[in-house]
Amino acid sequence: MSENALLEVKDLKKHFPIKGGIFRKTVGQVHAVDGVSFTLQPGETLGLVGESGCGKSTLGRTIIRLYDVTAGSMKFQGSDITNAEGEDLRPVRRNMAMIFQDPYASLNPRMTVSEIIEAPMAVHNKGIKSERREKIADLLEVVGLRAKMANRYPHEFSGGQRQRIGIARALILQPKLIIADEPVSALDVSIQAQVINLMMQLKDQFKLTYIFIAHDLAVVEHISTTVAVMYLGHIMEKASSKALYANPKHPYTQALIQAIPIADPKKRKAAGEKQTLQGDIPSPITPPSGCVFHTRCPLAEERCKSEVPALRNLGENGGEHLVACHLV
Amino acid sequence: MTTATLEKPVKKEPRFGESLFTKSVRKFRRDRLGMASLSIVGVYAVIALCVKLGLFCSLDLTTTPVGPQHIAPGQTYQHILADGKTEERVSWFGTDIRGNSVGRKLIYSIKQAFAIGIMVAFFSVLIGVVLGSISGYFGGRVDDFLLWVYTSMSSVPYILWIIAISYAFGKGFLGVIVALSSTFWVGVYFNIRAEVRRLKEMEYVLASESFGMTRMRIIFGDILPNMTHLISIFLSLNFIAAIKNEVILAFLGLGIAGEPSWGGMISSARLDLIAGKWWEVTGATILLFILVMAFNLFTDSLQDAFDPKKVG
Repeated sequence: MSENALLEVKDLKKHFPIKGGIFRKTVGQVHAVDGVSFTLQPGETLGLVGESGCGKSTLGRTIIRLYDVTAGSMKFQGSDITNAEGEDLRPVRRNMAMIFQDPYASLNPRMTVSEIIEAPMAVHNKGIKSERREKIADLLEVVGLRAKMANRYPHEFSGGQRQRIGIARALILQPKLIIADEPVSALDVSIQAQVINLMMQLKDQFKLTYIFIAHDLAVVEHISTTVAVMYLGHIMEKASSKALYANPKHPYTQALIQAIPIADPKKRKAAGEKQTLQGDIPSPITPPSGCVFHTRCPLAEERCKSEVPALRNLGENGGEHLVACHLV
Repeated sequence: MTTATLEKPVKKEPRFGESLFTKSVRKFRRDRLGMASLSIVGVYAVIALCVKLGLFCSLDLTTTPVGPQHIAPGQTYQHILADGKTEERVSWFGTDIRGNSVGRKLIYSIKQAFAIGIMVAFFSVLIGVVLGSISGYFGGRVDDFLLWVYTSMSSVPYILWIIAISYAFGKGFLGVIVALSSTFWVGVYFNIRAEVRRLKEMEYVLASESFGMTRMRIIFGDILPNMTHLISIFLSLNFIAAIKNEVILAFLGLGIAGEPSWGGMISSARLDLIAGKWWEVTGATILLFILVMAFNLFTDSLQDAFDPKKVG
């Protein structure tokens, strides 16, 4: 299985040091990502969900090597990229791309659309000027804009259009893996669906693999083939989209799914009383011992406070359904 | 027979492909106060340029006496011509203690002010932007060191720095430029550093990093172009501050020696003031006031027009 995996992440950790005092000594660590492992097959769409501050964005940025890895290892297309630098990092830079959350902050306001989309090609010396221009025009049409918009500036577009420009920039080098960091969270609900549908269409057209980060379970359900639920730097549950939504096993996932509002009043009644999570997400500087979720878990027992639960496969009929909980 | 033709309503074409810069320029041109102050500054600048090119009021004319000392403005005096004959002339702006024309000194000083203002603004902003960008973008040890320099320098009153440095470099033009530039970069540095640290976390910088753009290209392509408003505001603020501080230096006897300047005029004529000879101080003060005022208003309008948060 791991032979043709696109991305293999093993026990990945990303800690941010907190410096203090006159001599800027490290006085603590933010455990943003604290031991995450997963494998991503080509063509898969992995949805990463969790509350804000759970480390999902940091995980995405660490995979694309915007951040240096603290511990663990990553393999991309079979080669180790954990500490790659310079020339070794080039395949990562060319074959992974990122779509960002805030369409108002992700495009340089001083550049025209064509300059923005051209930048990755210029960095990787792809094509000559006329070829690039043609490619940009084609790509603008593909993402649902018009080719003649290439000479405009970002401030002349709406949020949804800007996000399409960001998508075009991510696609221009024809990457294998796209990490989308909450690509629709900042958009109006009516625009969200359009962008999601565009991303799904592009996935088939360009044979892409996505890591789709979101805090909205409903959005993720629609686009993902696999979903991983994160909490405080750990993966709590990972399963195929269908299995996870139909049969959530981890108490945290159950709480998240229950929190999705139900529009139909009859169904709402049938669903019964909602169990909502109490309290706030604990500080990632001093994460709880044992299972990180035990402070808010309705089922927590004594051993949850001391023993870290491993991800166990509880899948039926050969399917993979990983859960990190002692009690299921 | 005539047929009534319906006039087509003139439809205004929406502007597209307009950069933030041209948009800002358009906004600035609608700002009347800004345009008025800019034109005052423009008049000063033209005079300064003419003096620099030697079209009028060259140094020779301002330092050779034209007539008796301390003629009040508007009074007449006997001008001795080359052939020994005398001619009655009016001195519109009066003369100073040596009999030099105050009017000519005032005009010549405009050139001095611009020379000091432009050079100090250029060097202080250049140093501040370069060090601020390095400090803000790369962080780490370099940042710690530069920040330490900043803290040390700003914990001493800046006027002491200026005095100390200009003593070290001696009187004159170079001394003033070095003293002011090496003091003024500090404020620029700190603000630029903060802005770079903010911009560095912007998603478009992360995007550039994610596809492997080099750090230099990120600084020159993504970061500096988004600070142009800040840089231009610091240029004009430091321009004004330099001119004002030259007056203080001259007052302390550390100004440009040997050549007229507003600071020199104000400081040398302060004793005349007690004797009722008011015109030299007044003239220099008024010209200084108008320039500083116009430039401050211009800076305000610049800020309004070029701040990307307000243009959008």
